[in-house]
Amino acid sequence: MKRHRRHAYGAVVAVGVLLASSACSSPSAGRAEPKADLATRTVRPVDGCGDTSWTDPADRSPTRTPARCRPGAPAPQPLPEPRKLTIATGTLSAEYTAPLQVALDKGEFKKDGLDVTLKVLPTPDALPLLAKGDIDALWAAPEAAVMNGVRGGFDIRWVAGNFSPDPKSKSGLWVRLRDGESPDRVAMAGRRMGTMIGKGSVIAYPMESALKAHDGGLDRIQYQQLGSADVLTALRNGGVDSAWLLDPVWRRVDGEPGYAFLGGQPLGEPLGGMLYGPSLLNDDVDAGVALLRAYIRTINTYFAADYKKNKTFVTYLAKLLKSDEGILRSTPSLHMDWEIRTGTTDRLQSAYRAQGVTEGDALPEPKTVNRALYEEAVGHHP
Amino acid sequence: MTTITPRRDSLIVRRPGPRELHPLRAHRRHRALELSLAAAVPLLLVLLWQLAATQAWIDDRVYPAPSTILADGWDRAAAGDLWPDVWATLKRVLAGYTTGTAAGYALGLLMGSLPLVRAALEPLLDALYVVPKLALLPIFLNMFGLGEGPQVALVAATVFFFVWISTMSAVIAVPAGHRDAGRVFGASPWQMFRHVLLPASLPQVLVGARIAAGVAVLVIVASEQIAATNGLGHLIFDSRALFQNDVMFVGIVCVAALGVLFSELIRLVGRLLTPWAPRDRGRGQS
Amino acid sequence: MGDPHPKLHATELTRTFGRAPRAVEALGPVDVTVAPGEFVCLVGPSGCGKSTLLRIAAGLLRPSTGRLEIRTSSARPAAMIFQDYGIYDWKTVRANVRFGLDIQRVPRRAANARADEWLTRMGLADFAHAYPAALSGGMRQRVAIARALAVEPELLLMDEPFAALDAQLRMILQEELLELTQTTRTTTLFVTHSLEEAIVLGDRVLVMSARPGRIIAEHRPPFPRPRTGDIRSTPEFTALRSELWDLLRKEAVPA
Repeated sequence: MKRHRRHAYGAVVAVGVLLASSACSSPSAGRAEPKADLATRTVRPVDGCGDTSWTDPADRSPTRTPARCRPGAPAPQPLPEPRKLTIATGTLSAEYTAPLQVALDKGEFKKDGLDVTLKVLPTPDALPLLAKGDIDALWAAPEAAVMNGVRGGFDIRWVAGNFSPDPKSKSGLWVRLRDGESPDRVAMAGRRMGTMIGKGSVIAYPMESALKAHDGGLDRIQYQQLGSADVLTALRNGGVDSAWLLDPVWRRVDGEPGYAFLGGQPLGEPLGGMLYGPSLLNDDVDAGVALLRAYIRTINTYFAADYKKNKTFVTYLAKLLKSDEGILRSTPSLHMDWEIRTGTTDRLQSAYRAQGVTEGDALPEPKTVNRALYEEAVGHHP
Repeated sequence: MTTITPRRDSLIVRRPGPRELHPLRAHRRHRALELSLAAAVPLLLVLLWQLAATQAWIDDRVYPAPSTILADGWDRAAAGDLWPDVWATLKRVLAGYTTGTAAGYALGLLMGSLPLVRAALEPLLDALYVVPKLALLPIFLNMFGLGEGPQVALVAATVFFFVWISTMSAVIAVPAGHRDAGRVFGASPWQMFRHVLLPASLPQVLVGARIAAGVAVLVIVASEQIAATNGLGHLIFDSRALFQNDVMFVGIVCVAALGVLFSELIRLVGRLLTPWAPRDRGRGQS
Repeated sequence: MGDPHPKLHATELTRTFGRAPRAVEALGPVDVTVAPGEFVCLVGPSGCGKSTLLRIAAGLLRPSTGRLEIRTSSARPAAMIFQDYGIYDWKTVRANVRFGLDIQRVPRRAANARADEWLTRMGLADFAHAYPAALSGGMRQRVAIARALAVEPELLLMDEPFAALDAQLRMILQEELLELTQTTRTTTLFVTHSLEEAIVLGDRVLVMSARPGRIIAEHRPPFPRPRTGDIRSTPEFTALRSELWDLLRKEAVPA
């Protein structure tokens, strides 16, 4: 019996030492660095995509023409073996998802050898799946959650833009003017802002700019999160005195006296688009390029200019998005833009910090953005 | 030819063992073993989790190591970021719990002692008992607007049913013999209540109260996700939306600790109120 | 030898439980008279209704027919001792003994004094602040007896109080009860299914038939007061016991 006891004590001590040692060692020791594949990839010029197919990311002029190729370019380069892909997006009825849905509907993805499924998932649910590689891409935006994910060690990059607004669009910050205020000088400090968009959305950045121009700031207003139908009602009946109104809701206050538009999403600077996770960044970069190729080709073919001029196309879009033709026509065409401007993520991150939804130092652009994939798709040599 | 070896009678001896020879030492050892197991098993599990995280058996970006959670929580607490949320949640839980317990106890006593009241109200309350209280949150939001009202109301409603049902059944279950003794001595309804029904039902009521304590914390976390701008539940779900896993785990650990502490507090109160009742730790004679 | 002023007088008492067609006639008809200071024992087979009679006397039940009178000067003359669930687990021993006095709103100090007196008498002084859970069955019944006697009742009702105790403890408590009641001379109605117990304790023994219980015999144990348990070894005791057992045996065996 004494020997048993000695063995038992010995085992306990051994296990204890092992476990205690684990407590002392630091976590995340020895995780593999992301593959620097992209530096070794060959980029060939693409027929139909010339000088206008790439613009300098540093060019932030609001009147810049977005990059374009010939319709039908870049031509499909089907993968040797067809590949299944899942893209998640938050909604299928918003107009900015149109290029994806048109691409799917017109078979553009199939031409590049991709079998794409579009899944509707809210970003908080989709992000962990993207980070683990369970879904391949996310059609959303580099929100605060994405930044936090990258900071947490996950491989996620913003690889393509979506759109920038038309100068005629007044989607954005609307205020109810108080006595003595004019649209040029509105005191924004201390106001109550209603929005359906949560904290940490990319809208924080244009919101911050609009607020700053009028003595406000994200830290000096009171946020009220409301459902989309309630936002306009609250603005009208005084529940809130400012609101971020989206397409097409802003049309209902446009032109009404007593309401002023203070600014929206910046012109010429897309704030969202395609996010890739480890599966398309590391495991299968060819499929990643192919997906963007099909997407870019869709823009060049169907969304190159003012696509809402074409009545048949609008009817087609209305049916695809399950929306009303009249509503689609009431707002100007979006400027579809697959490129990413320099410094966008820096500006986004400073707005997130003002909101208090991120912690730690800002992530440098190479950790959040990867332009190499869309550049390869249009044949641009870095 | 096989020979059968003759069986020899052996001797079975009943001898005093260590427990009989050194009863005090044996008892002390046994208690020490009990206590060390009670402490060691949770500790072991936490260390196992830590090992799993450092050895990458689990993805520590998704499931942070206990050391990370502890360090993060400590930093937050030191910076004063954690306490406002803890306090907000605690306030709501306490307010809802006291309201629900008081109402449930009062109604349980009433319905347990007066059959007519029970006949009147029992069908209604039985039906409401099975309605998931979280489903009533939209109604509470309409009634109380935004703010503390709906949260406290939800916790109170949940706790009410637990306490009501255990109180009522406890009062009904008071043996007739107890009541008879009181009646023969000529106790008035109030005296019967004070000397017999109330103390007789108290142990069972406290069991219901302790269960309700755990459920109250559960409910507040769920309701804060939907209808609050601060609190631990809000912290958990907000940090999930912002993909801040370590903050989320800090929130979860805090809520778990809150639940345990609250439940133990109620248990302690129970022991103070019912000094005659057997300890419900159920560890037998030690 | 009818006492013109009996303490308790029951005439044509019956009790039925339930409604027709499943009504059960539990008791009766019985006529019982108890003189002041008398110790009457009721013996009978199980289910003969002796407990029912006691409960009617206590005021816990009403008779279905007949009438039971108690001559008394107080509104609550009776104190009852039950077989179990008698004393309260949540009160200390002293608080239990004080219970009847608390109900009567006796001032606390006086009540405590009286309770302590009875605790000492029953040998429970050391356990005054203990809870019943810490006591043995015998001790608990002593507390029950102390509680009943502390209010100095005019009528003491005891419903098989020693049935749950073992044989030796039973005999000991019978001795103690004898000593007590011979001192206080309380009018007592004692229900039991033990013939021995009835003969040792009672001034009169009433034998009841099987359900529905009626009085089929009445005997006076020929032992003068004060008595002790030693009477068990006398030939008169044995004779009376066999006589009553012959009666009872016929009732106890189902027909």
